[in-house]
Amino acid sequence: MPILSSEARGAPVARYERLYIPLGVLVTTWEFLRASGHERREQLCFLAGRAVVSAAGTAAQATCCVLPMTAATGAYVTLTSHAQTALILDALENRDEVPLLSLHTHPDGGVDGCGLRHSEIDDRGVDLAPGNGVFSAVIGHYALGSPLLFPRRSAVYERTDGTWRLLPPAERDARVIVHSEMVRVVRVGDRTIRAAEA
Amino acid sequence: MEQLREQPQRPERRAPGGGVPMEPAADVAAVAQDAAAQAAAVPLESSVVTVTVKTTGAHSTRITATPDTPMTDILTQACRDLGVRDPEHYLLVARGEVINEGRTLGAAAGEKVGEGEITMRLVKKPEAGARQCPS
Repeated sequence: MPILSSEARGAPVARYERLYIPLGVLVTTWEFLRASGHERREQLCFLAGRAVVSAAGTAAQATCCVLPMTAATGAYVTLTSHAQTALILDALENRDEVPLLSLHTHPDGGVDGCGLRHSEIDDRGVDLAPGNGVFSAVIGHYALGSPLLFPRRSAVYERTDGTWRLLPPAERDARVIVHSEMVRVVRVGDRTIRAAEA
Repeated sequence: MEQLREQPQRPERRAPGGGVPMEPAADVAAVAQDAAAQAAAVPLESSVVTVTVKTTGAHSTRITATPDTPMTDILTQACRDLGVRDPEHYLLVARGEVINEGRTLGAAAGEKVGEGEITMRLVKKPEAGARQCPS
């Protein structure tokens, strides 16, 4: 028998209770998506980062955006090669990062009033790697709107048991958190100070 | 100066048939080490190849197989081990190149056969959209 043995090692985190996204990373990502949107083409990119363990469970902190080379039309986008996927995963592994969120644009805000949804192609193809726990976001109108409306104006999915589950709005807003890169302490009145996001 | 002790002269021993001269135990160990080193220096064709197939850095499988194993078998096993549900969309990439499924593991490993472990990445080409590009 040619295959003598095989042994799986490690396992991706099965669920992230929360996904934290620095605003600067999101804005950079959005500009990439929007650049194609100006040309009436879809776009696809990724956020990667690291797991953060807390008392509330395992969360994910996005630390970078992955902006791939893609071929795109008004209704379809794909990376240019399998080798590029391997290159991306090699680079992320060298930085101790894993894929966390796939983002891609749609031309509209949803068909027949149903809102933004994954297509069949999205379901099978939108992620960088197999495994549960990762998220996928669909951005409407080619990301020509403001990133400050993310995730409220987007559809966010989580892969559970191998299938994508659309997060209800309340769960989406509670689990996907865009935050400033700094905490600044400011004076309020004569004696009071408070920490405020920029 | 007077020589206090004379080193005993050992008679030279000859192995039967003119082979390696046999000396006390310490010398036997040296001969064994030499033999092992010489054996290790002889290039042998490996009877097995071990390949580590990764998805992300956090998830991988280690497959040991004979060099004549078709790469399609390696791909199938890797997909099974790594929980891939749609293996038809996945390929193996090593050193920046897609590994042709028609090759054998030995051919894919190339000069790395016998050097121990090789590493490959199990990947698909991400895509999204309402309809596939006709081109």
